[in-house]
Amino acid sequence: MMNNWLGIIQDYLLPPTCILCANPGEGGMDICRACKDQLGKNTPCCYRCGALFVQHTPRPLLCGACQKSPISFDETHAPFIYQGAIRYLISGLKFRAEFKNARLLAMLMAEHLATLAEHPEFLVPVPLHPSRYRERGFNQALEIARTLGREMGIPVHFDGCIRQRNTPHQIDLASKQRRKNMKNAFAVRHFPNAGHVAIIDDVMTTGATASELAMAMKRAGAARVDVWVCARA
Amino acid sequence: MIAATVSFTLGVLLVQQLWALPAPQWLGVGIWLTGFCLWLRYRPVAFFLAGLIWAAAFAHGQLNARLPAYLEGKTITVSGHIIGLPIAEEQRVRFDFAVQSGSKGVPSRLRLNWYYPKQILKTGQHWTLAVKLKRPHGSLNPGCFDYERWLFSEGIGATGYVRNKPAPVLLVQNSASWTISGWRQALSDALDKVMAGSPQRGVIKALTIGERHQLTAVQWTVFRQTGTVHLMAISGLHIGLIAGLVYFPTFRLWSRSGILRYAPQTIAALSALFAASLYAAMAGFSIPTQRALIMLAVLLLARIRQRNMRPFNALALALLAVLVHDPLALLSPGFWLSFLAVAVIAYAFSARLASETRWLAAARIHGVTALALAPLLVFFFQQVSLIAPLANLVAVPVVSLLVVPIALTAVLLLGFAPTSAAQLLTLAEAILQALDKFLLELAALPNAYLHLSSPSIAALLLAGLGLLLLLAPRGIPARGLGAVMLAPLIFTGMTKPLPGEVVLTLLDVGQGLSAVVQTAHHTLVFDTGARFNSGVDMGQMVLLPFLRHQGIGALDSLIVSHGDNDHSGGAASLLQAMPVTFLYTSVPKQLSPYAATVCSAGQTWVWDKVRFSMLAPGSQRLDSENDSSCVLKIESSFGSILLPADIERQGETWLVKTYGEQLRADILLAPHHGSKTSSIHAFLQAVKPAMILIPVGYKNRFGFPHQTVLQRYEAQHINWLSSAGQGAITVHLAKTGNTVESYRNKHGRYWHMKPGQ
Repeated sequence: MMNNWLGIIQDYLLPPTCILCANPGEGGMDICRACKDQLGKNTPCCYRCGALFVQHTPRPLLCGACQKSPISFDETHAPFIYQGAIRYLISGLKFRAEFKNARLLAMLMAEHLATLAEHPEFLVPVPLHPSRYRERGFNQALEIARTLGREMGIPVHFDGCIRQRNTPHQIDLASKQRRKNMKNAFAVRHFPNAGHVAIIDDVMTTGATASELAMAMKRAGAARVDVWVCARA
Repeated sequence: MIAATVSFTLGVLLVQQLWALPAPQWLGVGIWLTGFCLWLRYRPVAFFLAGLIWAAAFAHGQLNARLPAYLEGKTITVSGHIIGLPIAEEQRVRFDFAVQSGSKGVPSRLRLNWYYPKQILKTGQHWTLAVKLKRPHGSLNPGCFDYERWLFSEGIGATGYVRNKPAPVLLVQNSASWTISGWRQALSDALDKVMAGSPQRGVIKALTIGERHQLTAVQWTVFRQTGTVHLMAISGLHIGLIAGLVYFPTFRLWSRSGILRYAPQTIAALSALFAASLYAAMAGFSIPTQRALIMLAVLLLARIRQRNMRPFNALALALLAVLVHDPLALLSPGFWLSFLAVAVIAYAFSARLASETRWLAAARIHGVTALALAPLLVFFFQQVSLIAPLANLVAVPVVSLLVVPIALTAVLLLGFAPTSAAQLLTLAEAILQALDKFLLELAALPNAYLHLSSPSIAALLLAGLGLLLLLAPRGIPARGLGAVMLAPLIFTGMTKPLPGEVVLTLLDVGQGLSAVVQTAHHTLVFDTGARFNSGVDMGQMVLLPFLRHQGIGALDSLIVSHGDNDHSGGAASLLQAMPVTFLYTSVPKQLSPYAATVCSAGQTWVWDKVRFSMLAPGSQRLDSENDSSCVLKIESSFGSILLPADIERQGETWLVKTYGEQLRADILLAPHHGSKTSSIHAFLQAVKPAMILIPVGYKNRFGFPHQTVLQRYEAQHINWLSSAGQGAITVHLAKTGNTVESYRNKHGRYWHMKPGQ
């Protein structure tokens, strides 16, 4: 109730405003209806890795790649395609420290996930290596996870997982090299006694990072690991 | 939000224009109406009414906390403590006093003078004092500082002085050592010690503890002429800068700490707000610092909550918060200037592509703010600095990036490491000295600043529209037309009298005399008011601002009737600031640097069909200097005015004997401020004025005008008005009929003492 009042006061004092076009925002989000409708939706897609299908499918299906070589996480929820406005918002957060984008992205995700996804017991943002974190000053996955956890009422596991190797940027690497690059990148220091967790990140390209983290957590005792990302590249 | 704030502000603004407040019972009706409008969803109307009611209620509260008339001039014993930092002048110490116990009706806040106190006065001291109080009163003239308004907005219910008998008793030496003002006092004392004799002590004190009384007159002038006065006020610029200097390092440090639960930007924002509050506290939470804190809090809240912020919305929110906190904030020019500055920067830089280099952007910011604030500066101060953008481009980074951080660090170190603090202060001083030199040179440039007459509200609004157009984004057609809309600001003057007409303004200079006579193309000043020990004089405080307000930049004639301070004290300031063609006086020695002509009977000239004649002094020497005053008579076809300065019985007798019936005048300035040694029966009989104007100070120590003199006037059915009761009094001898206008009557607001009270 208290939180609700704070929200109302904030909505009045700092009214939701579309980050993309400066029109009044909708549903408490900093985005307007028109801009929101234009975001590229990532459906239909592979339920495991989130890869976009060309055609609509009646039942949840696995893509060819996932059928051939299984990856370590169980389900992926990626509401949007990494292009256009979503791409602008994510790169704004990552490279220009636009923190307001984190709240918008998380709320867009929450709206989508509230009905479609099974709720995990914990959210685990993909950790940055401490030296990268120092350099950037923040972790975009963590910033998204904060709002997401608050919106959906799921606790966030802040520092149980660490990145033990400072892996080079993945941007210029092909998918095979990416997997190699991520090998043993993560370590689990302490893990809550939980059967079901969700990894939080901003974008998923090949799933190499998430897969590696999911493997580490499964080794630490997680029964089911989903991946929640804002966009699928 | 924006519509709500604008409506609320208009409501508050309307109240501040009122001659008298609506009675409290009307406020109840107003609340009911507001509710009704809300129910009808007329939200702007509701907000307008809310602003109106809130401002009126606040003002009622403030007015009730003032001294009732029956306590005026009585010796009252009060107990309480000194608040704020006492200001020591040559003969007296000025301080604000919070009353804890006293007779019924004594206001809770007093502004007191203590002449030659035996002890050093410090904030927080508890005293029992015998005081003599006056209701808040100040001289009131067109275009001049409104002291009554200032007292009102500071919540001071009475002014007065401390009596030496019964002797004051110091109850507690220092009850405030752990309060903010105790801390400020300690810092102030420490700075006095470390920076004794430094020319920059005043500036350092202004920038750190917000104490500006030690800035010298020269420094003020230079800052004003170069448009850098705002740097001496601790407000948004300095506070925002300190917040930034704390935010970014904290952000870095926190992200190194490895603590992930709390986001670095949250911790950094909270630290920045804390540092800003500390700085504001050091400055005594003055109104501009409160304003800046509110704005900063909105900004940081948006950052912490990861909200997208509309700049104008945040500005509106801060404005609303400031006005709810203190509706009287609207009365200070600083309020308008600082909000406008932020609004202009937001307007001129929002929705634009940022492709400029940092220096170019900085230059543009200063150019744009200087341009946009110019109309308001002309409106408030009748002066605009043309070199302000250049001066600010250098002075703003020097002061806010170098001097303020260095000085603040030094001040915080004073208690722990006095030697390094002193070294830092020496560094700050050196930087300031260099800056001073630079600004002095800029101010000396030809046409560095302009004096303009005060524009009308219409010209101001038009200029505002012009600026909106001028500063609009590139691509909007005909932006240049905006410049044309600024023209009325420069080319409108006050309406001048027609040939043959005369406007005489008897200025309210407290106890003293100063009058300005305007004809169609000429201006004459008769006497200049007093000069005080503190160094200020009525020339700079009243006469010059009034003349500039009227758009007068040069005088055709100045008459200094005689040597008494209350008539000649402001002459030097006036002569330094304006060219004067003819200077007449009965005391040429006193004005020797200015080649004065001795005034004597028989001098006469005609300006624009108006005759000016000097009636006295004659060749025969009279006993006193008062009786040797220059006496001027002004005659036009619409009426005549006699200005006899300070002549007394002897001078009046001589005039009656010499001129007889020729003394007749419609308007007479009371000789010698209505003292009982003047205004003899024969003189009044000869002059037969319809109206007498008495130049006196409110509750002056001489008891002018004397009761018997007033009775004499009334016995002869002569109307009289006093400058203490009316503020400036303007007499129009005009084709359309002669009028006498009281400034207090015509332009008084609800906080002013009513005319004649």
